[in-house]
Amino acid sequence: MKLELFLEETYPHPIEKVWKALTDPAALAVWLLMGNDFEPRVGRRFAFRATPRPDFRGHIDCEVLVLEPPTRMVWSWQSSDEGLPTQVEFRLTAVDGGTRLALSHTGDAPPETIARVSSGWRLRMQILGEYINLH
Amino acid sequence: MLKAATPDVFHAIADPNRRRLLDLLAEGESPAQQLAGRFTISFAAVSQHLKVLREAGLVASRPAGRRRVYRLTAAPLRTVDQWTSRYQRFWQDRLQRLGNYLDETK
Repeated sequence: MKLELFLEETYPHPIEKVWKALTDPAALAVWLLMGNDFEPRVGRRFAFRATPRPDFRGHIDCEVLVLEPPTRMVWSWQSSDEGLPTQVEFRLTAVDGGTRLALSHTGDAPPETIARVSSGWRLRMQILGEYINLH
Repeated sequence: MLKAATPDVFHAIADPNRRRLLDLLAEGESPAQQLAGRFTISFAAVSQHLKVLREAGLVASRPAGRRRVYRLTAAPLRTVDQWTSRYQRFWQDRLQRLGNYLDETK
């Protein structure tokens, strides 16, 4: 099971530039999602808007939860009416020749729950996957 | 775009006792009493956990005499995996776009 998703990417650009691309609504509209009213301040509620589809209500409601320039930003992220609210976290680290971005997208459970839930779950998924294939 | 799995499934697998029940049932079907024997919590508590799993569609039961035999019906867990893999594709694509954006911006 994965209530948690972790991705990492290193960009050959200085950390300030990457931070700006994460916190400028015009930049977000280019690389992330169109139509947002993001503002870089804690407590800011904003939304990304798109065309509704059968499996997507057409907007993602977000809130800035943490803002620590230029290294960390956390958003709440709710993309459906019935789904669980989730959290998206961006972490930036200056590395040789650029900036490493660590992105996590996790279910809205306390961290200890997520840790407990995720430990060993990959193996269980495999076991269950084999089980499903057999039935 | 991204539709999350039903909260029921997430809720159901968030509890360690219920995950253990799923693990036990992955070994094969089993009467509730026998499952309860593997836990230190009460039979009533195990029954309650089985009820939550059943409502989430993760286990099914059939009567066998006076007992109920439970089995794993793990297909809903695929929704959880789907949820993640959809977000994974989404974010991988977006991080690449961010790279392109950075390359093209002063």
